[in-house]
Amino acid sequence: MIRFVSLRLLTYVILAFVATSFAYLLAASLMHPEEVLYPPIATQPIPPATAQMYLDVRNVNPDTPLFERYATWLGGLIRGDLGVTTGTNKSMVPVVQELATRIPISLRLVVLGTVIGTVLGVLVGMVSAVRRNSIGDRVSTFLAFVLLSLPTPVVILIVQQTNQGVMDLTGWGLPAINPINPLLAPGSWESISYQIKALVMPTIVLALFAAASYSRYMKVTTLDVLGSDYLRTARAKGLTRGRAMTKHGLRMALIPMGQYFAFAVGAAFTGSLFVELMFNWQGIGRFAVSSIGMADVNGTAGVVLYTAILTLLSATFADFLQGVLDPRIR
Amino acid sequence: MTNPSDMRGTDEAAQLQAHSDPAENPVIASVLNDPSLSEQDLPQGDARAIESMGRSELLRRRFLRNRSAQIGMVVFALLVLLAIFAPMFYQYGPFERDLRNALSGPSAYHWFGVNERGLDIFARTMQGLRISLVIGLGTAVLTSFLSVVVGIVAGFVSSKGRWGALADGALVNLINLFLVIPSLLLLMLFSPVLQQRSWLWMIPLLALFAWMLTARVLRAMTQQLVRTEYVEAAKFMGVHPVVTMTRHILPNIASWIIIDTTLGVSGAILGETGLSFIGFGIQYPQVSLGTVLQDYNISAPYTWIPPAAVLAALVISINLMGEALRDALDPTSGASRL
Amino acid sequence: MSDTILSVRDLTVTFPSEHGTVRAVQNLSYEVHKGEALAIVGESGSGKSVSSLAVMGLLPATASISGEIELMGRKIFTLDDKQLSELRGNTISMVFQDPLSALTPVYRVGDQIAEVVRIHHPERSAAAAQARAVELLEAVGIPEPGRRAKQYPHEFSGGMRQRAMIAMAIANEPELIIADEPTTALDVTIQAQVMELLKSAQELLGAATVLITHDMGVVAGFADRVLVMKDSRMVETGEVDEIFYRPREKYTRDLLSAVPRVDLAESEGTASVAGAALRRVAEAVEATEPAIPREERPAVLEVEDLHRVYPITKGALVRRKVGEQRAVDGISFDIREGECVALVGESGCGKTTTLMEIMQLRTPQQGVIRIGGKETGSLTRKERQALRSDVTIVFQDPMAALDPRMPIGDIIREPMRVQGYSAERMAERVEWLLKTVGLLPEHAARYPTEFSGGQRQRVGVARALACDPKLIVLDEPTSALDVTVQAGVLAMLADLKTRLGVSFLFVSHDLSVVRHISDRIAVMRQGRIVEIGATEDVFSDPQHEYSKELLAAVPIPDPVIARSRRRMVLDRAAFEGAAPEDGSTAA
Repeated sequence: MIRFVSLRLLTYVILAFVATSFAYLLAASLMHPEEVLYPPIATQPIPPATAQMYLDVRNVNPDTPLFERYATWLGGLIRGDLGVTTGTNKSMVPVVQELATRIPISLRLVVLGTVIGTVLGVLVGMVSAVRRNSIGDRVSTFLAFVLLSLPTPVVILIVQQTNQGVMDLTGWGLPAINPINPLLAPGSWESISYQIKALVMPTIVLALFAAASYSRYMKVTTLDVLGSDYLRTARAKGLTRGRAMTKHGLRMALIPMGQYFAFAVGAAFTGSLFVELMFNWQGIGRFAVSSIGMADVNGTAGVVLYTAILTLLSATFADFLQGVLDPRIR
Repeated sequence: MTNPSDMRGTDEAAQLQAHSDPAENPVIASVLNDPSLSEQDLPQGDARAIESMGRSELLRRRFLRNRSAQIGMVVFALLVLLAIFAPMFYQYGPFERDLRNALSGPSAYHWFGVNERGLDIFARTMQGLRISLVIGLGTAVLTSFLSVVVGIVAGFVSSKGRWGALADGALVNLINLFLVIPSLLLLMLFSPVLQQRSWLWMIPLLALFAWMLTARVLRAMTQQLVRTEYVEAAKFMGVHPVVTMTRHILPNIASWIIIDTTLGVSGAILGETGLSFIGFGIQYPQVSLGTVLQDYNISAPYTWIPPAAVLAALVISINLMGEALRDALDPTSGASRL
Repeated sequence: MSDTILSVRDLTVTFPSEHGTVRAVQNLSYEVHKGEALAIVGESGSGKSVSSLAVMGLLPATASISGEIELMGRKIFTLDDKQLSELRGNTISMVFQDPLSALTPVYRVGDQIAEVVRIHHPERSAAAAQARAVELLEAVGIPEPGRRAKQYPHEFSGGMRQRAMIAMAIANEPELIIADEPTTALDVTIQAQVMELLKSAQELLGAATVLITHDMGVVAGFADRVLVMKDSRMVETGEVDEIFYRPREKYTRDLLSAVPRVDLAESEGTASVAGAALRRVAEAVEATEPAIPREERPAVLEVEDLHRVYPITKGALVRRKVGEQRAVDGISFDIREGECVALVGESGCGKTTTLMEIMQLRTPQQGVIRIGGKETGSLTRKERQALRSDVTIVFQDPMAALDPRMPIGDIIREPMRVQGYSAERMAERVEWLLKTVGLLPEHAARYPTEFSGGQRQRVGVARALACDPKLIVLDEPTSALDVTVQAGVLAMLADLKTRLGVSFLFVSHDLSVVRHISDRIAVMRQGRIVEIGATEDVFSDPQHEYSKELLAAVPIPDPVIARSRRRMVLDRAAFEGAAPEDGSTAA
């Protein structure tokens, strides 16, 4: 079991490393930070020596060979230093620091959304498989189908518009944008309750997507389990339908679901990017959009590293889960 | 990209098929086994017309009989007609500004209203629909091609000795690598560079990040097929591997590829919409449904409801057809029970 | 007979399907009395399994059922799931066909047996139930039951899993045991052991038993009464001797005569269809052709000291060899022109590996394979391609051996196309081949799914014959077929052998199948040939211990002989160990 998970982990670490390096090389060769740092319409021409120094200190000088820049970046990576941000902002904030303030904000969304969505999806999928063709099954299957046919922004818009409608009608609604109200004293109960309320809508959106895809997969695996020989044996032993399903079926149906979990976290990252943009949260997703928009090579590489680690951890967790559930692969 | 809304299945698809195979499930087999098909006399004449109808004919009938397929086809056809003929009804072009009417609701001149920047939402939505359709169809076909090539080759060589296993391992790791890479980020990296050349670059770009899951499924299916006795038989007859791939393997996974391509259209449309929505997709002088949505205003719902509705109708109609195809292909399979 | 345990009256089960309603069981009625063993016999699709699931109340919800089933005076259809659950596993228990999928893979075997005890006796402690599970495992003859109880199903062999299933079925001393094809997935020797175990368990418990099977041989030694089913209806029913020695219906007679018999030599009169057909053919050959001694005929295939060793590796990144599996361990045999050699052995004995080594036409790891005198290792690419038409194969599973997307005409053309035949010649040959294997030339445009199993196997044979091969390798060609169909295919093969002078390498796990078709038999075990000789010699006077064991294990469709071969196998002491208070009922 430990062997199995650690072997998988090693593969994932290699994959994550390759992916991040790939992303860095791509970003460094495709982006032109010098154009953003010194736009052509700059009022005062900057002396070339100063410009060179500016670029060198940020490790984005296009005159330095790509692999030298990569080597420098890699050296920093080993020491836990991801370089500094570039772009229109010239303050040179270390990428690590930027990530450290933003990751908790994003992770809050991703973790909550994935966990609630997964649990909900598994429950709905199992119930709709067991009570196949009931009204509940039809409704949930239809809702999942429609939800998966809508892009994330549209779902966010629907949720926001609904909230707006409720607010217009009753005068009470959830905060639409910003996770923190700057007018409230930090640490006070008002501030905390505002933060919790602000979390509701984004979490609903992410959980809905996770639940929709999970319920579909879960329904398929559960239906397979329902038609299996071992469940028939369990019932022949004298277990009722419900108890046979919970004692023997559920665990078997969950085994293939483990692998989807890794994808669900990746999907939640993509979803959280839209959520952060549209709810104005200062998280990783927003940072990613602005980094790429401003040709921030180091920032982009940092974001890719973060997502790679996130995927890696969730994939390892999925493997671990599968190992716990299924003695055959131990 | 690893789209959260991707309707396509993953690895389990092949497994699901196996589960529903009458040969593997004794109860199904004993029920399905037609007692009238006995050894003594062969099917003669019209009596067995249903049996000898042929697989493709049977598929077509099942598909056409499906209510959701009918709805999907009608809606999709209407949308295609709309995309083709809508420019005839433009009173304002998609980029023509009518600032005096900025942020005003639907009217006789602006059927869907005008957005904050004074642009006509009807014209923009229709223009976006055209672009989204082209990108969706093009990407789906290209994606399927990529995944068929990778999937079949990887699945086929995996059982061909040490070198085959090595090549298969390399391809599998390539698939995993693309899955680990946050594809949305890479799309955001590439897209602005390529958009400067032509908006059509969106098609290969989206395809590049969409083929992995399908390739994985096709690889698993091919591996199953390679182990079947008829492929083994072809090998022992001395049939060339390439001929085996095209004559025995491709036809047997063709229906799955068709379904996957159909669902890939909607996946590509959703991906393009998301990318354009955050400003990294289709750029001026073109407009896609994602860019139209970008100009949303919560206090004026007409700014986003028309493009969202068209988008939803488009994706839902395609998904309805895709799922109906899946039902028709394998009525007992897990996928059809969704 | 004493009191009735189960009575089924006028049972009809139908399923909805795309082509209208499928009638799985129609108007079936039977009774089972206390301590009686009833066998329900029928070929696939006859509705025998569906009827037994109806008794358990385990049919899927889509089935519509009419009629009446009474179990110990309680009407099954009036009970709800909860009440039925109290009966299942306690009063009535079931042994399923496929022991691989019938146990939940993620729970320990001991826990799964303990579960059935605890469900119906919640007053027993978990530890007591565990201890009982170990006793039960010991009772059904599993060595080291304490250790085995802690293992998972995938660590058990097929026979052991089926024993565990039986342990589960007898755990609560039920009044009725239903065994649904309990030995179909098992090897002959294991099959014999499991059947004996089941019989002794039934006798020990005094339980009524319903055995569902397609194999008349299994029935003979087990049942008191027999019910024959065909196409969802009952054909006839009666005492076992009556059915076997004085069958009334034609179908029953067909079923009986189709079973190949190991115990009867050709000289003795056998009613077997296959045997009769083969004998006729053999006589015809002897009449026309003066027999050339075997040694003077040219060898088609020679295998000398063939080895195939698979390394067992461990470690995902750095693969290191931890051992080796000697799949084929130095076997030698040869096949002369027009001869049929049978390679017989149980699963895992290396017979399929041997076939694959021959069919590859490559240099084997060790040893020599010669086809028509040419060594396969020395062939050029072109020669090998040409030789592919001389050695062809017929596979076991007629479902999987034909590409479902190709009309059978194209399937038969494929090898000829590889060998570069002209279009006219191919068309001509397809017609001739279809006729030769007993199909109509008009069928060439149809797809494999439109044919039954036996017909598909004929198509497979036609494809193997396409390029006038010298040797056809038959890999269990009849094991996936119903007995009546099997007889027809065997007769056709024998006929082809004499008419066309092809040699066969016939691989089978079943001695009774090869008896009438093969000239020589090689018995394989653990990668070696333990005995090789003329068919008659092997059957009448087997030299090796294993050959004797194999022969003894083959079920014989004759109740008197079968009964005389039985032994007691259920460990009574172990079974009664923890339940001495039940001793009186068990005896």
